[in-house]
Amino acid sequence: MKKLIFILTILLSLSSCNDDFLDTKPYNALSSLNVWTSDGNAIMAVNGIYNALNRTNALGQYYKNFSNLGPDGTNYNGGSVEMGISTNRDGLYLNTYTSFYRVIAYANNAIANLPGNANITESLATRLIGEAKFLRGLSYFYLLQLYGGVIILDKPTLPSETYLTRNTAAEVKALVIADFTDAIQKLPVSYAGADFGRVTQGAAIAMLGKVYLYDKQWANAVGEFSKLMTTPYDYELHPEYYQLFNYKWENNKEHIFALQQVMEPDLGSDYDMLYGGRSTNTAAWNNGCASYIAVSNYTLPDGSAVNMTTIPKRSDYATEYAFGLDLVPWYQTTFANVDKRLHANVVMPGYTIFGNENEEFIVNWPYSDHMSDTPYRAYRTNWTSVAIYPWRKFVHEGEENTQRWDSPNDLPIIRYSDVLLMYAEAENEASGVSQDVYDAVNLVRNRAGVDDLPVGLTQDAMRRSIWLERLKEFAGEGILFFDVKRWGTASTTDPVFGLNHDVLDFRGIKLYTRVFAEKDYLWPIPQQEREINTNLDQNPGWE
Amino acid sequence: MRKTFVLWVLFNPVTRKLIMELKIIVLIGFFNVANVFGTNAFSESAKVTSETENSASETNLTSVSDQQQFVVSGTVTDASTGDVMPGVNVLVKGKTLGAITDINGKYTIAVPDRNAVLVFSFIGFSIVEASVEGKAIVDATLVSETLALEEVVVIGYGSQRKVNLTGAVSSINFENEAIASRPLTNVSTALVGLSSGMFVVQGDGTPSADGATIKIRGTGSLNASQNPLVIIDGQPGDMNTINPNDVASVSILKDAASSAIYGSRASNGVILITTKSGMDTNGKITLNYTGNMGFAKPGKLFEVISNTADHMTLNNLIQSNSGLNPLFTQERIDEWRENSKTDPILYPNTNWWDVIIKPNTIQNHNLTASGGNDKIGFYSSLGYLNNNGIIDNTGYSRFTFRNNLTYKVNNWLKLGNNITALFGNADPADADNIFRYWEATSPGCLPKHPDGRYGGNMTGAAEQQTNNIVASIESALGEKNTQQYSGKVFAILNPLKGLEINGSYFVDMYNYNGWSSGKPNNYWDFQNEVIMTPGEIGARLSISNFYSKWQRQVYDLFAKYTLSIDRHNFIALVGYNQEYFKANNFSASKRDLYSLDIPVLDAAPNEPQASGSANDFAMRSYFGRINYDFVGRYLFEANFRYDGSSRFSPDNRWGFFPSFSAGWRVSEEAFWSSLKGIISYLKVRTSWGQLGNNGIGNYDWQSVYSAANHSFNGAIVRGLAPSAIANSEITWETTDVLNAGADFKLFNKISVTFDYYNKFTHGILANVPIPYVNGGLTAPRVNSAEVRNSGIESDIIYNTQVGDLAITLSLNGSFNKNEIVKYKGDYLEPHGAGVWTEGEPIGVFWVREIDHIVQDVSEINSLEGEGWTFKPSTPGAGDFLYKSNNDDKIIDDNDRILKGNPIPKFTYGGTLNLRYKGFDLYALMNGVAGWDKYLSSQFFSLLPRVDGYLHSKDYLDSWTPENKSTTMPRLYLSNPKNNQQSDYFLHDAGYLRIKTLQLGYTIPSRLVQTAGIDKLRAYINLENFFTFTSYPGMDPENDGSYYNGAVTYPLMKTISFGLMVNL
Repeated sequence: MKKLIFILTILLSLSSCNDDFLDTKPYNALSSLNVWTSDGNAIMAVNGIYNALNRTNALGQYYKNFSNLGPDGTNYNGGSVEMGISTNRDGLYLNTYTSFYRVIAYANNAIANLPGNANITESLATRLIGEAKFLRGLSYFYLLQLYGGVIILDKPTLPSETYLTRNTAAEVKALVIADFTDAIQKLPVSYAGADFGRVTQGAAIAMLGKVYLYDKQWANAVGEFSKLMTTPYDYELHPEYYQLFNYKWENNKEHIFALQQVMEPDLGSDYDMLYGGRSTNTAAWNNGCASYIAVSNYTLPDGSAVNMTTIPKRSDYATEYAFGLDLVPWYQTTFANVDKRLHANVVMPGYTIFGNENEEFIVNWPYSDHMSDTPYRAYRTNWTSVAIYPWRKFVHEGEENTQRWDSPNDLPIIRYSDVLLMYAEAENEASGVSQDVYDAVNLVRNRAGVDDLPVGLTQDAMRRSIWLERLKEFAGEGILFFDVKRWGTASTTDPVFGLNHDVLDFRGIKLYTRVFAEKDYLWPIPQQEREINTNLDQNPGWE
Repeated sequence: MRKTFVLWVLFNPVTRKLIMELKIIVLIGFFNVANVFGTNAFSESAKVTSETENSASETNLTSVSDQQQFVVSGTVTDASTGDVMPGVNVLVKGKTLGAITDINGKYTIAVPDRNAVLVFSFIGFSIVEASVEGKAIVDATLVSETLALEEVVVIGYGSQRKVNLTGAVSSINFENEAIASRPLTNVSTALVGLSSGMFVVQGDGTPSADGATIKIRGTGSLNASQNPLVIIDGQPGDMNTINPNDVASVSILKDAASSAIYGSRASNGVILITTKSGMDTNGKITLNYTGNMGFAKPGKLFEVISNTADHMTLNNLIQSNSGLNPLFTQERIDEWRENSKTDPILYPNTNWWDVIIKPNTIQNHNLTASGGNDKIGFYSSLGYLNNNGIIDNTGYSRFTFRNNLTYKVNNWLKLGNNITALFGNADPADADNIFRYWEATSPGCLPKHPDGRYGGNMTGAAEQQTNNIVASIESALGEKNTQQYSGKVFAILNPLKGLEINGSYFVDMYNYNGWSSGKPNNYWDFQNEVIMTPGEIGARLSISNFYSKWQRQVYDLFAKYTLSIDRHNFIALVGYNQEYFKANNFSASKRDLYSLDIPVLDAAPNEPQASGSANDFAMRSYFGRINYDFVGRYLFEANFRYDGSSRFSPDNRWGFFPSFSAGWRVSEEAFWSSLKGIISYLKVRTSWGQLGNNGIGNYDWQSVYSAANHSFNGAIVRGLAPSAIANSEITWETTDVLNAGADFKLFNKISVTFDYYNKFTHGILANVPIPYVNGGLTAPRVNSAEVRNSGIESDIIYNTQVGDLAITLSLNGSFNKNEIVKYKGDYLEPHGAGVWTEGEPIGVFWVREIDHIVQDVSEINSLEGEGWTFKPSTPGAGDFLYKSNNDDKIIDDNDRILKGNPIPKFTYGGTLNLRYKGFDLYALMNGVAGWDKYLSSQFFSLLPRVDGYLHSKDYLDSWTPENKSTTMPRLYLSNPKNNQQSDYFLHDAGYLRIKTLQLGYTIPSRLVQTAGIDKLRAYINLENFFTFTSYPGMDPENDGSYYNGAVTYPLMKTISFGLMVNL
């Protein structure tokens, strides 16, 4: 009997288990069923779209990737895309493609789940849809520029239903225009306090104008851009150019839309690492640098060109050291009074940067011979076999930033100066040179301390002036690559806007030859994608 | 136990903290043992017996007192050595009477009647029964266990005589002095070569993470777990957390018949580990010390260029091949070449293998005590392992403690508990990081100046990336501590004759914690006496702490009923099991630590960061088994398990996994008697069953949004986003296993086991690749794919005795064919250099074939003239011309073909054991054939980096106009001409290894007995010493986590010396 009681006790103790013993739930995530059920959750889900856009291969490395491919910057080590030897399997093509589609997938969730959702305040839902549409439109805009016609997914789609053929470029363009147009209707002009940094009506107008400009719909572009020059919009150029790229002056009136960054893990920008050097306090990598072309096109305040022909020649010197002793002072003198945007953008030879350990470093050559110089030690870059022009733009000074990969400097996606120059360009193309064109360009030039454009320019000369102004204004911001493609100059040997030339370092030494063939106007549809979805055509020249 | 303590102090001056913890453990162990012996076990055993007698009328226990007595004596000897055997248990069959042989192998026992049967048993030897039949002297000869067919094999929830097995089970006896004497650091690597059907690969030699990956009978899953279920004394566990010396036996359950009782987690096979337990030794306690001291050096490496001038020349060549300027002037190269002859400080030619890899020591000490009587049995062990590794600051030391105790409360209740503890302490240098940075350096960097300063880049501006690995190894600070405690309490009830009920509760707790920090260093250019990389001035010290733990709780309850009616024997088993597992982790860091002497978070004021997460799973199961045999000749067995798992949605959660098997002992038939002289034993058997696999993420069926934050206006805002597309319909992967086998013995000398199997896995969770337009979100899994593994395997054991020489030879071999039966038709889904596609093994390589290296560009010009084109670019002189494998005139990726064996086709192993008088020799070998690996890391990629990266010595033989007769093409920096996925990178990874070679000598017992020692054996052991392979990388087993099988912690070769002492 004793035994039986004992056994029964054990059995009973085991049978008292709960029925939900096997119902485990993740500890660190929210079930998808609960996302679109409250204002708070819906806001978080839309914030997640911004997060995706800020990712490395969407806009997170936008500046570096596209500046290195454009006339304004370079990767001094060459690279398969720059040198025209990439294959259709290149990681850049796949990752960029995938990352923008990630933004689109998240935006589609919001666009599908918010309208008419009784759990969410209607005015909030409207705004969130506007944000999602803007972010989707922006993603398709970049996909269109890079790949041409791509698959349009405009609602949440089961993976099995994504084995589609490519939509045409016109169809994608129409979607982009529709998204921006709808976003304009739904977005507020501005946000108060904590929401500052979300996309606004003005951002959608600016992007819509940009779409028209890229499509050469000059009058439509002028129409959109000119809206931003009047109330209710109070955009204006920030007085000091260099402050635009530093968190201390963030949220200024020039940033129409900027990707917001904070100095927190995974929430800051990569640019201290990508543009900074070994002597900046993050011991960074100089993954992108300014190009010889960009540097040599800055002018003196009166608009006259810098005389690059007097640059010392290596062949006149016995040693690299002796060469450097003349070369660096030549830069110091020659560029002393040049357009201040150059010095805001680039750490020129002979110029200093406040870096590691709150110490001033100077760009010198050869750097290893000047490591212990006083008062300034040589600025160490990641590419010390070559004499690079390191970017200063977006790079922290001193010990300000302590998170290597998370700089708080916001990344402007569209600035008011871009709007002004695009307005000038569109107006010049639509109706020729006018005072409005001059006014817009001169506003940008004057802010940089450069005199007005000479009067009496022809339409062609004005066009070239605007192009050059864009190069100087947006160097290192990933914009020029798209410009030279839409201008059709990329595949030419145009000395500034063609991408077929030798890449030189600041000694004037050739590093490699840059190649941009006709086929490069469109990137390939990633071959990895075509292997999964065999319905996809390839762009010409990439088969 | 005092001896234990003294010995342990002798061997072990580790950290003070560990000593404290261990003292406590030793004390606990001591009390445990003292309790057992002090209170009731021996002195009062007779009393207990008589007390229980009255209430035990229905049991088969018999008291001594009511029988007439008859005295028998005799001597027990070892069949292979002829030595007398002390300490052998002699029991009267069916009674609790026992004796033990003395030092001269003699015993005396009083038996109840003249027809009694004596049972002689000794660890590692088969049991012998002898009938008294009225004789006063009964001698016995014991045969070492490996010779025996009457072996008892541990199976799921019980044990079975090997002759009655109907499933495919390999059993490895670990109570073998040769295994105990190997300098083993974990159980998984101990299994290499010992069983057929098992492929054991040690991918990494890091002392704290040197466990092997085990695959049983091929690879049966694509995305879910491919690892076998490991059961330690009845509960799931990690075999690398137990001391190999504590293991008594390992059973490998290979077919469905043997493993279906583990149902949903058994499809990759099951490994049952049984730890040692106290035997009934009539109170004699054996104290054993086994220890060894070894010297380790690296196994197979590959050569890197250590001559800096050659290195610079090669960099220039790569640059010019790539259309880039040279990095070094010829004067600089010549200067280095000349000066390095006389000045190795300023012009070093550093071989970075030699610098970081150093011969080192490994030691292993085990002290065990075991014994028992008819009431109680215990096994206590204390183990210490110290593996310094072959790279400084990567060592690992570990203490393990185990106490296994069982005791009879009365004649129907037996209780017991197993308690273990493990304290591990790994050095702070992170082996993964070492090898990530190891290749990013230059031979022109001096590791360390005689004055203690670290070297930086000296070759010139180009080699910016140059790392100093020695500095990073030496500057790593921190602790990585592991504590694991497991405990099990169990009860075994025998309420009725033939009925046994087992109940147990098991908990296993694992903690991993510690801190890390690093000492900043300046790296110097000694040629210019300048700091190349300043690290020390103004350095910000950071400190991080980490803590992770998991906990597993298992309840088991099962009952077994045995019934024999006439010549029909039945056994029925039914049981219930539930398991809950939860893991948590937490880490935090801060910066600006005041001093490295106070490495705690409170000593650093700035930038606090913290993160933490948790996950869990639960399982609930019912299982059962029925065995039936008719006179032990016709054998039948059925098993089932009904499993519920939290990893699937409520609708898809439960799975039923049955198996059926039958065996026929043909040699028991009357008609066989004439053949017995040739084939003394023959059993044929077959089985079929289904097994499951739920080795996927804990929440994969649930669609979730997880954190995806952003910031607005300078403040963090919370964000959410899905990172995966879930499929709530997913359920178990199922494997149907058909097995047919035979066991036989030839000429009474050769035992053979042979099996054929066909494992068909269906409903495999395929990550159906989805277009990237889905945003790169992890694709939903679908139970869709099918994989088949079929093969044959055999184990052969041969025993013979030639005079004083005893020989045991065992061989095993397995052939496996792996094939994806259903996936996505002909679609070739890329996975690294391989693909998954139907009709081919998982991961078969998809490569272009190299035709030849173009020697003259005119060849290409004429091909172009004929209309040929080349993608991605046209080869020039020195480049590969790939073969055209299709009809178009374009040489491109469409010319790739499927090639190679990603999964080994043939694995084999074997042991040879020789004994001659006091000498013993043990050799263990294993090998793999029909295995290819794709090797395309920095050192083998043909696309070497030049900004401060080491190069393989093979690169010196690359094609140049002056060196045309070579198999290596031109090297480029980033030009993809020659590193297209091709068979150039495919290499035969087959190997044959003499894993262990051991020579031992046992000092004749008469010489040591005066010192109170029962046995003293000294031995020398070579581990991993001889490997035969043509693989060009590191050891073919090394898998390398970075850059396609690049560099990983090398496996070690060890020579060790040791002693084994029994008191």
